[in-house]
Amino acid sequence: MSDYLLEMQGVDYTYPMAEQAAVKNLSFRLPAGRKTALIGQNGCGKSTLFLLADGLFRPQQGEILLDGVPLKFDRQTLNRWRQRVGLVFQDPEQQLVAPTVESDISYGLCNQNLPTTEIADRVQQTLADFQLTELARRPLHHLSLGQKKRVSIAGVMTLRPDLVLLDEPTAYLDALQTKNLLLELDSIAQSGTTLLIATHDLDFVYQWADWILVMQQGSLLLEGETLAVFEQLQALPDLELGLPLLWQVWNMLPPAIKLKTVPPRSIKKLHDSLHF
Amino acid sequence: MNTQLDALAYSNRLRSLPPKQKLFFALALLVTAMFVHPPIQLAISLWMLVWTVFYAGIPWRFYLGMVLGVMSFLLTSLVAIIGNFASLAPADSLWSWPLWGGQVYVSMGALQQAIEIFSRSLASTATLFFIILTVPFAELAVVLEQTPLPTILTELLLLCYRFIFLLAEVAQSIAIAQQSRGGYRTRRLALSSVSLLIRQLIQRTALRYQQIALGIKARGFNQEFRFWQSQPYKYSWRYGLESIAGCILLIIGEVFYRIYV
Repeated sequence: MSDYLLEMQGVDYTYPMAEQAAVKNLSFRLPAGRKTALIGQNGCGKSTLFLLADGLFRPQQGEILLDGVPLKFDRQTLNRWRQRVGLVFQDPEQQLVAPTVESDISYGLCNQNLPTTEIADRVQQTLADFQLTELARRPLHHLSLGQKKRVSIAGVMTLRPDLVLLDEPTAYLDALQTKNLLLELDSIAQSGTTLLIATHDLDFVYQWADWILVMQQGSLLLEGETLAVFEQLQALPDLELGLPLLWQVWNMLPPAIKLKTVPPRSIKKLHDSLHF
Repeated sequence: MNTQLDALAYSNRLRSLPPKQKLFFALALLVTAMFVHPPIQLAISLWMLVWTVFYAGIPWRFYLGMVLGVMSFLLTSLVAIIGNFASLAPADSLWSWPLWGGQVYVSMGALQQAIEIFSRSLASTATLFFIILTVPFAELAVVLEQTPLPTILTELLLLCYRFIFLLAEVAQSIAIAQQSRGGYRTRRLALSSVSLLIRQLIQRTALRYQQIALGIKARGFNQEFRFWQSQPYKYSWRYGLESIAGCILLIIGEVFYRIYV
């Protein structure tokens, strides 16, 4: 297994009837086992990148590799690929297809033709992991949006993928739901699963991610460690991506009251880094 | 879309009974209702009411509203069966009234036919409501999957069930958005808002279809929709015995009716 899980090499994709390419000569390598965030303005190609990475769209140019093995577009390879790369859509309704919570979680497992006993065990385990046991037999249309999000993530995680792509996971969620989702994502990351999250929420990215990809007009603009990327972004105000609140506060504070030189990445760490 | 119906099916007191037990019971009564006489059919309706309202705990007002809603349609069509028009009412007619140079009359035969249709429909409706209100659709689909019905049919039923609620939500949100901007202020505006809503709904259905197709592919769609569902049901001897004993009593009642009436 290489240090990089997913790789794109010079990938191009233009939607039918579109004048401009959604993704243009895109190349990047995604480090394995890290919490990566994908940021960029609306329409920069983040969602298209996800659809390409899951083998849902076929690149018109370039190659996509997983563990160094290129993606081929035959049914068998795609099925194996999608077992290893899970995709969680921005709108949970897009991927919830079964009538109840437990049956929806079982959907991906049934598609793998696993024995019924294994399906039952894995569904029960996933329900417990995502605190959904009480909702197991509830119909999906009786759930709140936050619960639907949890079910959609659970349905992907039950397949035990190596890489999970999450498109705007915090969209439509309130503060508490976002906090709970963060905890769930952390526990997924701790289990060794690589996470790639597309988001506009820079405060979330600053606190959560340890690797960042920045896209602009279908291509990769920057990539690197979180603090290094934000330093470069600060030097590129024309991008108009904004900066995390904590980062801005830290940079506005006079150096005399700072106990550390490394910018803190949480409120608590900010408090601990200041001399009052 | 009446989501209360769906919610009751998921929360009624008979939820823990195996869906097969409830379905076989209701089907047995439905078949019985086809062949027995009106008093036995009325007994079936009452018995179903006991099961639905008292055993399953469905609010009686809701149940009554549903039954009356359906029966009101039936009653309007019964008028056409009961009433006949001729230049001269037959001698065996029960009532007759002169109208436009002829006579409107009610004959014994037509009245009996109407009573039979009414009682049979009432019994069938009651058994159907028993199924609808006590067996959630997802569980019904699992039972249907075990029958020789084509798989495509049960898959389509499940997808339709999922889509109905999605589209109902979309329709509701569009209607609220229209209402908030005065879209239903006058009858004319309401008509144009409804037509706009239908247009939007068709467009969004097409978009939703594309999105779901991608979502299903991403989850490894394998040419058929297969799900697993737990079966935490408990067969109830008490309900089982009551249903068997009740069916036997109904058949005995029918035999007595045929012999003595």
